[in-house]
Amino acid sequence: MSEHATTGASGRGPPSPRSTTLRTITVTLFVCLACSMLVSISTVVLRPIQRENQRQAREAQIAAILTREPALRELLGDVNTATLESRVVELVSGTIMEDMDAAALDPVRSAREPESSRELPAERDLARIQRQARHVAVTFVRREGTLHAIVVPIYGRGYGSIIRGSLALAGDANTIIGLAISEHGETPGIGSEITEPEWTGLWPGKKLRDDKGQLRIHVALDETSAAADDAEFHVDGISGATKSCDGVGNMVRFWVGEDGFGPFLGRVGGGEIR
Amino acid sequence: MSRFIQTLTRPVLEDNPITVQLLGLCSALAVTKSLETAFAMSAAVAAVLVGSNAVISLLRGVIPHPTRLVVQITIIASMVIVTDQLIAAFAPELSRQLSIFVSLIITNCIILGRAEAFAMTHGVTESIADALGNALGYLLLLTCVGAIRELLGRGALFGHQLLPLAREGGWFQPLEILHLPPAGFFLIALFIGLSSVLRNRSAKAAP
Repeated sequence: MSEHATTGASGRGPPSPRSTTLRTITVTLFVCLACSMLVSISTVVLRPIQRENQRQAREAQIAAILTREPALRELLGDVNTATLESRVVELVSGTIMEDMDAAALDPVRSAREPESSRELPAERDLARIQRQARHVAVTFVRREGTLHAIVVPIYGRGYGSIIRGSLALAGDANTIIGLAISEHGETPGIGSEITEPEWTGLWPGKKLRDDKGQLRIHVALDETSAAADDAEFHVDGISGATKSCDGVGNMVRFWVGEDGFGPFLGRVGGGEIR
Repeated sequence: MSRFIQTLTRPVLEDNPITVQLLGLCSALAVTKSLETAFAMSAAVAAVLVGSNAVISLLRGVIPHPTRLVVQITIIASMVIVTDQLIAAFAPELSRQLSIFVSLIITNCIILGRAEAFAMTHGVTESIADALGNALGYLLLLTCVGAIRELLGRGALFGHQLLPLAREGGWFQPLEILHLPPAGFFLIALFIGLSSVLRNRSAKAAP
């Protein structure tokens, strides 16, 4: 074919042609430029498609946690006849902001900007997120006018990354319908087990609070010293992925607690918000 | 043509990238939990390997010797990023399963290894044959390991439940360890040992 098409044995032949410094720099620069063009173009061209995928994935996920459990499917009936409705909640008072558009709210951005967020004192910052948005969009699932479920976004630090997900609660604002992890950067094959249905499937049916209103839901490995009625509030951790599981447990506790959706869930449970 | 076939088939068994060249082990350990990810990863590696071998072989006359590794890795990294972006755009579900391992193809030694050892000194057609052969060799091993791990670890193949699980009323008690990361090490080590035994035997048999 060409002078370079030698046999396999003679392999590593003498170096390529005359290598002057100028030529080396020119060729290397040219290759780098061409490659960076290729990478930039592909990233820019494909970004809208990827964004759309992420949006669809989030929606599919909300629908999925609502239909996964057979018991729940009975409760919800055909999810297609249910209406999904996004509303904005003001966290401190737990009231719905009628004048705010949920679609216009960028959760990541509003948690970062000083005017739309607040700082969390370290001792209360169970989810280790430092700042928290004042307004958060939640999803109401209604069927024939009755509230069947509320889906709230939750996030927090796991072992090495921020874990994001959605928590679906039944109309009593206390029974977990499902938990889905949508985004994380935990160790693949170890911490990433938190996204497996085998683990997220442990959550449906668990209760957040006991009859006295005490927040009891928790994730743990060791259950020797548990109270007799603990099973309702306990989710088993995954051995090897303790930090990631604890991270999820802490973020659930934080987001349903007083600094999270606590006031809002109180109003839903009390029948104030339907 | 016979040389094309020879270059293509040699890396599949005789000079398998994983069991003989011992390249690309990290990704082989990581994505072999199920057949589906093993296949997807092999396809991504094949795409990058063929692309980089072809381009590097085309440019082998102009790539300056002192900076050849820089040029090679730049080309490889660009191809990996483009592949990763394409997968994220057109197969988002797969992209979530493979997570960081697609971008880690950059550090998969098979790619740079073949570029430096083969594409730099051979023609385009031969380099493509070599790339395909190595990709097939990689696929073969990943398939074997993935099939064993998924079948015995989960009782399934390609996500289809073949053996009824004991916890769902069947008879099959899955071997949990095969689903965990260490199983990758054990199985790949077994395959390396096996291939070494076979090669020694055939070397002795030959005059």
